[in-house]
Amino acid sequence: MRWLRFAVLILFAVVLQAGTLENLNIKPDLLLVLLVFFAIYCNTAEAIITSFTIGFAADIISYPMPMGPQMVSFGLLGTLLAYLHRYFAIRKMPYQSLVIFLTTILAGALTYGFTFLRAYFSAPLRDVLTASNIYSGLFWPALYSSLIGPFLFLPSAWWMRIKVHRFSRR
Amino acid sequence: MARKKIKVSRPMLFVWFMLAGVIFLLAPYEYTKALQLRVLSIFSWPLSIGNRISLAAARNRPTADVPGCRNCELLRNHCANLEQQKQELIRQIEKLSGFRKQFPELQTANLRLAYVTRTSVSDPGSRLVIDCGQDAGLKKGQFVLAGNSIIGTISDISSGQAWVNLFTNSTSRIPVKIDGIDTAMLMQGSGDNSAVVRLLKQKVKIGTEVFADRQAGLLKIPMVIGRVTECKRNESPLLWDITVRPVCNLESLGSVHVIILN
Repeated sequence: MRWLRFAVLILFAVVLQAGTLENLNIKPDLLLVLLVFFAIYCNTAEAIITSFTIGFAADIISYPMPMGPQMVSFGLLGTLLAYLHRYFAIRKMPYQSLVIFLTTILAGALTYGFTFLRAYFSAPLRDVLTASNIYSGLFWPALYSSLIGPFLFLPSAWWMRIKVHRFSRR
Repeated sequence: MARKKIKVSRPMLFVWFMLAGVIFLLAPYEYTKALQLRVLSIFSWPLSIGNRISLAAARNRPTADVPGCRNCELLRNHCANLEQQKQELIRQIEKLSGFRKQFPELQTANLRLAYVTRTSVSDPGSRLVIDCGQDAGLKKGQFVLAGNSIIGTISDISSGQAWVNLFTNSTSRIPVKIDGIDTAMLMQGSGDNSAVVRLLKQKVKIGTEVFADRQAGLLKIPMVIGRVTECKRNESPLLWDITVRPVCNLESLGSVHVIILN
C-alpha cells in the first residue's frame, strides 16, 4: 500500500466533497466510494486502516455535526466489507454498484443513529442538530454514488498502482 | 541493529481504531468542534480551491472560514440577521433613553418608536402612516412626537399600522397653550403646513412657542407643537389670529414616537 498516494487521494476527495460537491443539492459520496474501493482491492489490515481514516476525514468535513459517528460507522462497514470480500468476490460493475449503494445506505443510517445517540447526551449539540440536516439525503447520495462509483475505481486503482484485474478473494 | 517490524493483528488494529472512534464520539462537543475547525482552517486553502471550481449547478457561495459547509452558511446568515435585529433594538433603546432624559415627566409613559412607512395617499403631507398599530398598544387620539415636538395625533388605526393626523391637517383640532398666555385655546389645521389659532385677546410676538395642552390619559405635560409665524387682526378689531408652523420638518420624517400613557 502506498500511503502517501492514499493521503493525496483522500485529500483530493475531501476537497471535492467539501468544496465543489457541497454546492450541489444531490451529490455522490466520494469518500464512501473510496471506502468500498479500498475494502475490495486491499488486504484486510489495510482496509481497516483506510476505512477508519476515511471515516475520520468524513467527520472532519461534516462540521457542525459531531465527530465520531462516521469514523465508527465507516470503520465498521469497511472492516465488514473487507472480511466479506474474502468469501464473495465483487468483480463486476453492477455488483460493485450494489455494494456501494448498500454501504452508503447502511453508513448513513449508522451515522445518523450514532449522531442521535451523541446528541441525546449533549445539550449544545441538540441545538445544532435539526431534522432537516439529519434526514437530508440518504437515498439520493447512495444512488448517485452507486452510479458513478464503479467508474471511479479505475482511476483510483491507477493512482494507487493497484492492479484491478489481478485481484482475487483473499 | 536491524529494525524491528511491529506486527499488529487485524482484530487488535480494528479494536484500536474503534476505540479512537468511540473516544471521538464521546468527547465533549466543544473539543471536537475545535478540532474540526482547526483542521478545516489548516486545509482552508485546498478546500477553497474546491469551492472556486465553477459548476453550472452550483447555487450557493460557500463561507470563508468554514469552506463548503452549507449548514454553517445558513447559521451564519441567521446570525447576521439576528445581529442586525439586535443593532436595531439597541438603536431604538438609545433613541428612547435619550428622549426620556429630555423629558423627565415622561418617565412613566410608554414611548413607542414607530417608523414612517409612507404619507397617506388621500391627503399627502397631512397624514402619515406608521408601522405600529393596535398590536403595539396604540389607540386613537394618542399624541405623536417627532423632533422633540408634537406633530399630531393618531386618527385611524389597524392591527399593524396607524395613521397620524398632522396638526397642520385641516381636520385637526388640538387644544394648545401659547407661551405667556394662561388660557387654553383650540388650534385648527389649515392644510398648508400650518395651523391657526383664532380669536386671541392679545397680540402675540412672532416666534412665540405654542404648546399642546395636557389632556387626561393622553398628555401629562404641555409639549411644544409649533411656533408663531404670523399674527394678524381678526375681522373683529379687538381680537387676533395667529398662524403656527411646525418646529420640525414634517416632510422628511423617518421615525416618530407615540406617547402611550397607562
